[in-house]
Amino acid sequence: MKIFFIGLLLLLCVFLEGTVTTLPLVFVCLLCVSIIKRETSIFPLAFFAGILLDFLTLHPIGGSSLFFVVVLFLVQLYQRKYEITSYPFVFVSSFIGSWIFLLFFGYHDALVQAIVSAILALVLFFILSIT
Amino acid sequence: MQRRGNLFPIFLIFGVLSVLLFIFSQNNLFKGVTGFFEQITVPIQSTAFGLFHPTEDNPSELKKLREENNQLRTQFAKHKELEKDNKALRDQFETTTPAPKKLLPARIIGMVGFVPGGSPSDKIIIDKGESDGVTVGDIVVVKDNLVGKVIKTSPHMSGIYLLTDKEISFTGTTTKTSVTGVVKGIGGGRIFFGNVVLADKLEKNDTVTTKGDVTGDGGGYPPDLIVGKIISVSKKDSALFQTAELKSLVDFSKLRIVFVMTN
Repeated sequence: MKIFFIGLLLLLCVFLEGTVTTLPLVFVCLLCVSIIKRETSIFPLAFFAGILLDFLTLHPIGGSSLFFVVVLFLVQLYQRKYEITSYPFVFVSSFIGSWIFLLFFGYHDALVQAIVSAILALVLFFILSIT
Repeated sequence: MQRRGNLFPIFLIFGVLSVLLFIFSQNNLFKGVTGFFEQITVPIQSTAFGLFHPTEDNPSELKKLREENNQLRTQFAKHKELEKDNKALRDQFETTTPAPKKLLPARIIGMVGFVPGGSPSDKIIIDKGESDGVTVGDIVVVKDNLVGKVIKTSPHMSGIYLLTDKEISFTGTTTKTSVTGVVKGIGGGRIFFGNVVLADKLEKNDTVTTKGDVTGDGGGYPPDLIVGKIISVSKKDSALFQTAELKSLVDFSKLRIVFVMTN
């Protein structure tokens, strides 16, 4: 049930990001799920979500997947030494990750969008934590 | 807690797969697969886009007047161009015709902006691609107005840079004063008309059209397409050139259908 809900949420984010917004919703969603679940099952999800996103946005296929996989690996590596299930970590990691993602794909207003993404990540993290 | 020991191998598998996909896609080795998936995703994407960009069935009086004003501007620009053409024909009795173009209607299925449906977007995605004859460099128009240029194609989709994008740059000319300059998008929904020497006269509300940068194979910008009207002029005596800000007669955020000029 949980994996179905996560998959549905990711699919919604993929279509929103591929159609109407430049906010890195898929990345934010993957990051929050990764921090809460702390499982390697997030990697295939990130891989396929990235491919679908690249299809819709006409980006080079594999670019988003590579970014998601690398960032999620770093996050999970970090959790071995430090506690990552905290709001400051979610904010900082989503801000830095979103900023790099937006710069990598050449979107405008990367800084402002990264701040908005970080705030969205906090909200999503809160919702996912209580559910 | 099964993940701890598996973390590195799993990362390696998906990391390498992503890199391979990236390399293959750069070499156009996925066209068949891409085409198949796009046939599924394009209708969904089109529906999702429609939810955030609803069509307006009852345009208000103000909108009707704006539309009429735009049509009059278009006619005026055409009239001016015809006058010039007549003069040139009378002078020379011959004229060159650019390669014939075919207009291909396409629906917009993606227009990403910071705020969905609110903030200006500099790039759109349409539901026509290589299989429909669209190629990179094709020009996109609505009526006589230039909208943008195709920058990327896939079997059933194409990416278009709007006039407002930083990558867009071409030669334009004003209809009233026949001043030539360079039209350049600067992002965030703004277009500039620059490289105009100080001695030339730029007038507010004058219309700027494409001068025509057609290449030998029929590509490039055809002449006399309307780019927009001048909304402000910036002229400093100390500067080498004067610039003007343009506003397209087309509201890009309201567009649902555009036309690709294919060769």
